[in-house]
Amino acid sequence: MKLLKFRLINKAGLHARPAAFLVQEAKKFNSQIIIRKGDKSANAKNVLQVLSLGADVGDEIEVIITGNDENEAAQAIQKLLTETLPSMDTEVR
Amino acid sequence: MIILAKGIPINSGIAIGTVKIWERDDILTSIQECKTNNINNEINIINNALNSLKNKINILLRNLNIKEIADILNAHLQIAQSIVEEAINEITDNNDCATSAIKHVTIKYIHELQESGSELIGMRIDDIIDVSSQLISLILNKQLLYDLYITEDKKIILITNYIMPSEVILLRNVLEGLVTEHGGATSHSAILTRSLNVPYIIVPVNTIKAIAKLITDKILIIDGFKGLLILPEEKDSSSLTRIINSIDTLNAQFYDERTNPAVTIDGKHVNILANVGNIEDARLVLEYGGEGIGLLRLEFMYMNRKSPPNEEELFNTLMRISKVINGNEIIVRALDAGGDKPIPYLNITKENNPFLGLRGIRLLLREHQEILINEIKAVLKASAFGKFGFMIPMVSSVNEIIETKKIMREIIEEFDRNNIKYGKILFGIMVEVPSIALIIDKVVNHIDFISLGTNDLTQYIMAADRSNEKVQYLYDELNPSVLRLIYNTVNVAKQHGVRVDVCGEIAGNEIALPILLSFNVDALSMNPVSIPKVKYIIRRLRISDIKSHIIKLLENFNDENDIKNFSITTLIKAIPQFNDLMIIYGNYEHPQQP
Repeated sequence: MKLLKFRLINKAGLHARPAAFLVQEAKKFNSQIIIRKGDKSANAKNVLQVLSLGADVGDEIEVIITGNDENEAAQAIQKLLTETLPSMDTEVR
Repeated sequence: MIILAKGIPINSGIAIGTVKIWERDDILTSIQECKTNNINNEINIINNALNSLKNKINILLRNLNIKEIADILNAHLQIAQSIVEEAINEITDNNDCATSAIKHVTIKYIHELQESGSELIGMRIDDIIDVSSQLISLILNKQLLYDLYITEDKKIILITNYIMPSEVILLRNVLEGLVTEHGGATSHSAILTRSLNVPYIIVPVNTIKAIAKLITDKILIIDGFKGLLILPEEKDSSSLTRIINSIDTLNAQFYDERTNPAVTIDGKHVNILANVGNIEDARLVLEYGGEGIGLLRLEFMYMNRKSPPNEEELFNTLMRISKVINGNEIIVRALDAGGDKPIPYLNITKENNPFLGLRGIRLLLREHQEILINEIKAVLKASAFGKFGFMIPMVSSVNEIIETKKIMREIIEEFDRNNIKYGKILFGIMVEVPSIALIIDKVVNHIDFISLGTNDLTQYIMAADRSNEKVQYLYDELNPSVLRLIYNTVNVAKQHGVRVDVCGEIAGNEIALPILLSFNVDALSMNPVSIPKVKYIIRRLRISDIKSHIIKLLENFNDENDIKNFSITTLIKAIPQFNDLMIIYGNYEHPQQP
């Protein structure tokens, strides 16, 4: 099992589009991926559950990954939350 | 021309077109509870609907090359997948039929998102309703009303109670302008109108019911700069169409240049800031080229709850907003409540004349010092991490300033005693009551900045209620009496090194720009939507050419409109296309009401 902790730094938090990117990424792996914020938790492969966390910029979240590809999954999720999503903030709409 | 409704501008620009009123029925509420004894059949039905929807979305994705649209459609694909997965569980566990299962899942997540505590995520409820409505209409083989409009060859102005993101996408080729009663500036529908360049305003609830008979199938104008819905004279419509197309082109240029700084041709730089009323507005500031927040209204923190927010909540919200705008400056205004903006738990007594009553800083100092103290503490603490200013509203005497500063000093002493980390903040006042403007020389030593709240200042100077239609002709922020008081106030403040911001509607009014810049104000704070336009204009003005003439007119005018007219001439000289905008505005400047 891998346990990762993040403070969300992308400005939009995990609203629909960023959440959809996260789900897309999570679905690439066999491992079970759970995201926790406070006392709420969500299956990272279900966008409705991810949205329900209400995770916004500045919030702390935990990601718990369990399965045969947990190392790769952890790397991918880390990159998405700390690099890919924040880099989308600066894109001009 | 007649102004039919005034609302909030969501996407700028002016549009003209034939009105279609769409009184939509809500598919979700129309779905009845139903059970099945053929589970596999229901699962097939729902999977077929999912596949059709996926195909539909994938076709759109192939044909549309706009990134925002693609991102939203991809999110919809994920949402559809999740809804169907959970609905299938409902079918197998509870023998629900397909439509009823979708409805249950949708309602469950509407509640979850409402309780998520994030306004932005709350906005995504639209997307869930959107996707589930599409699934249900595929199952019921129900034609949606928007399908009818896609075949229209005319451009339409759509007026409806709300609109879903997928509908904006489907209507993209016929939609000239959009008016809804519900929605928000960061909804996906609003984001889509921006990427499709469709002017969009949100009008108060029940507007449609009130004006439907007047406007069905008529040609109407939407003013997405000022948030107006206008009925033009019928004979004018063809010449108006030409003019409005030219304004459209100009508006696209405003937006293209929005990140360039607001520096006049002769080198005067003006800070362009945004008025923000919640975290959602804050997300628009940088997008529209704003350089900070010149007016953060705190009222949203106090609404829809049973007790005031504590210091920590205020601090967390300030920090979040600061992050959203990359640590740029935020001027926080103390709670501005009163008889006209009641907050139940503050027990504000009913007053005969709330505009002259216990409002703003009066209320805070007399009855709710604990609120003022919490706000000052939160701003001081937040300023250890970002740039903040704090200002008090409705100031009418010097003593109010001295009292507030005393409270602030005591807090700082307390912080020092307890080694609490805080930063330096600017302290200022709103100048919106004439009394304080008239003795501004006695105030300047106590403050770092003033912010001219021209909406209230105008109504107090002119003694004209701005919500009373019958005296609208008197409520004129560019009346020479208002301008003289502003000019004198700015002069005295600047002589004493006090910074001058303007945060009333005048800051986003193009006709006011040559005047305010001649007065040498430091910053203009406005609705984010107005920012690109204002920056574009400022970059095309040369103040040294007009300043002395404006001051001369202020001292010695023949007609109350002289300064305004000179300003319009200046604008048209600088930007010839403004002639078109002024023709439109000229027609509804002093509106009759329906």
